[in-house]
Amino acid sequence: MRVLIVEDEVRLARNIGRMLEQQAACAVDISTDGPDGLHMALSNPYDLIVLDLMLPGLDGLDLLARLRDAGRRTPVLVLTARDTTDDVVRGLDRGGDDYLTKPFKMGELLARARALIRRSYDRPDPVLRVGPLEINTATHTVTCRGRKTSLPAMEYRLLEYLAMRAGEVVSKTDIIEHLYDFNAETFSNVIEVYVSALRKKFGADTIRTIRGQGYVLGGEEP
Amino acid sequence: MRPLSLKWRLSLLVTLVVAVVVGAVSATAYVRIRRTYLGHIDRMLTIMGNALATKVDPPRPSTDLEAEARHITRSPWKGTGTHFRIWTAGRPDDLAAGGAEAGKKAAFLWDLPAERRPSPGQAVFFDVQDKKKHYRLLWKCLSGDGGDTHIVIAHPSSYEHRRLDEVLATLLLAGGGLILATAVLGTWLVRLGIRPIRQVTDRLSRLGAEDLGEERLGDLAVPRELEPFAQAVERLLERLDAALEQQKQFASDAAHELRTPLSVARSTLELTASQPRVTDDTRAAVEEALGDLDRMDRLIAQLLTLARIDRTRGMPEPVAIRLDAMLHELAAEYHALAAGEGGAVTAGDLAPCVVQANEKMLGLVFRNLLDNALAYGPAGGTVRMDLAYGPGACCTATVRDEGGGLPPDALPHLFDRFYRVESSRNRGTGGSGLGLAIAREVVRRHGGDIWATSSPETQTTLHVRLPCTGEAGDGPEE
Repeated sequence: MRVLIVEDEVRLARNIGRMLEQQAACAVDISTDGPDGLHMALSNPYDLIVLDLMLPGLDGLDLLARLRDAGRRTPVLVLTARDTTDDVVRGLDRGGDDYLTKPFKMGELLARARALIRRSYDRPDPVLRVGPLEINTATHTVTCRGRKTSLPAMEYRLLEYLAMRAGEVVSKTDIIEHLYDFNAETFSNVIEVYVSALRKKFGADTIRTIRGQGYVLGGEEP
Repeated sequence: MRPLSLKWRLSLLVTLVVAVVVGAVSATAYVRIRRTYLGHIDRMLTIMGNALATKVDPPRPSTDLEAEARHITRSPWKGTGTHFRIWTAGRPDDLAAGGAEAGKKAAFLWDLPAERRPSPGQAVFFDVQDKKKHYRLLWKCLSGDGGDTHIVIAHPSSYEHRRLDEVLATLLLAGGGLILATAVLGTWLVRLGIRPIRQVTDRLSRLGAEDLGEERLGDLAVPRELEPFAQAVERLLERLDAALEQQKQFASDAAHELRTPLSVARSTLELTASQPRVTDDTRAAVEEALGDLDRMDRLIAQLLTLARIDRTRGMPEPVAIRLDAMLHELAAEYHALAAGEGGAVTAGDLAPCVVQANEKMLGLVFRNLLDNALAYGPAGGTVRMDLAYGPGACCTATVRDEGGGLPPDALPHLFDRFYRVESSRNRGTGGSGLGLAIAREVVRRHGGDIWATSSPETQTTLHVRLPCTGEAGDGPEE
């Protein structure tokens, strides 16, 4: 999953980013001002945007309105120090999906982030069940036929993303765009490497390759 | 003494001016009319006097003189009403005396006021009253070889005096009426004139804190003289509104400015604690620091709550609340909290009372009281809540803990902002000293009161009195 954090407080953005990377298996991009944040939000397929309201250059609420005007359905978690009911209502009515006031507990932010991402993929259950696999998105553990496995970070990210879109053909471009942040150095066959590692662990037929199109987790055999 | 009101001052001034003018005009008119009336007599007396003087000088036998004088002084209007006396100073007998009619003598002619006596060659006019009759007198003195000869002619003037009295009465009546009318009309006009001031005052006194900036006095028909005043008031209101707005903005900004660094610190600590290779010591230290951050956050929240209450009037969105139900729920909620430390929160006798209140704010009051009771009561103690009717149309809720020993002189100060009792009750529980201040502010805005009683070592009770709008059954069923 790929998350954009738009927050002018650099250290707070960094800390949230690290927490999301470590605890929610996300690739994270950070923007520290409004116009740049809007540009990034419009040019990359993010799974979640964490948006501060008081931003230099462009107010968070305006950024949100512009994003929705452009037809983007990316879930937005609004983050702000303004805590009156009016502020909350305004934030949600402008197109925000959730609201968290500063200072917040990191655990709550992570849980809300996970919930928003699940909802956007229409997966209300925190445990994703695909064939013999059970992927617990809260604890990042994978159970295959009753056997619990802990996966390296990138392998888990890939498996979770494919499981979210279970039954669909997912292109390599999609995978790269949702698993890596802006600054990541990727090489051409990196996805094949992780796919083969997952196949080795859960069986060769878990992830099928559709030639020229991409990969499918679960779903009917053609 | 209070200075006279503007209205009375102005109308008094107008009346005074009118009185002076009317008085002056009346006096002038009276003097002119009097001169006209008496002038006729004076001219006639002058003619008679001159005629007599020609008869007296050179002197003739007195019988002759008397007859001629009687003939001369026969007035064309008054006929026989005139009297005369002619004598030479130093001689015992008069040269002639009598009226136009023989045998009638006016006694006052022999009792003339000495101060009127003219010097030789002069003539004076004056009035004399005799037995309710008015006379106009000419006293003429002719200097001669055998001594000064005096001629006095008295002409009746009762008719003229009566007319003059009538004129005077008319003038007094008309003038007085005019002045009175001016006073009444002036007062009314002044009242009409200063009405814009009263309108502005009315408008200003109805003004609330919320609509300061919107108030425009321009739609009032303010006279030109009052325009600078109205504009100054408008500018003042604008400045006041800006100041209030700034204060509001300040609360919001302060929240942002204080909470952002708190968020950063909290996120850093949480990130540190989440790392896998962190020792238990470090984790404990981080937990402690996070607890302090929580305290700071609560303090900021309370400061903001106070700031928000301070800038509103009354209580927004009042609804009918069953207070007993609210206390019951809170007791259950807080009992769960207290039970973890071996304590208890119980709901005692809760009379079914309905109060009109802002639900959130009223909840905050009792939460603060319960927080306080749990924090300052003895560990493992019981906190008991009661609710009863009275006094009067009020109901009184009490929150009692088992900690005592509050000095009596500290009790009234419990509700001051940041007040902390320096005693055994202060266990460093991390309260902010604002909870009770908020409670008092909210309770007062609901028209109630809050106070504390404490008995040494046994219990401390906080009482909340609120206006009770009805008993159970009157309010909505839950």
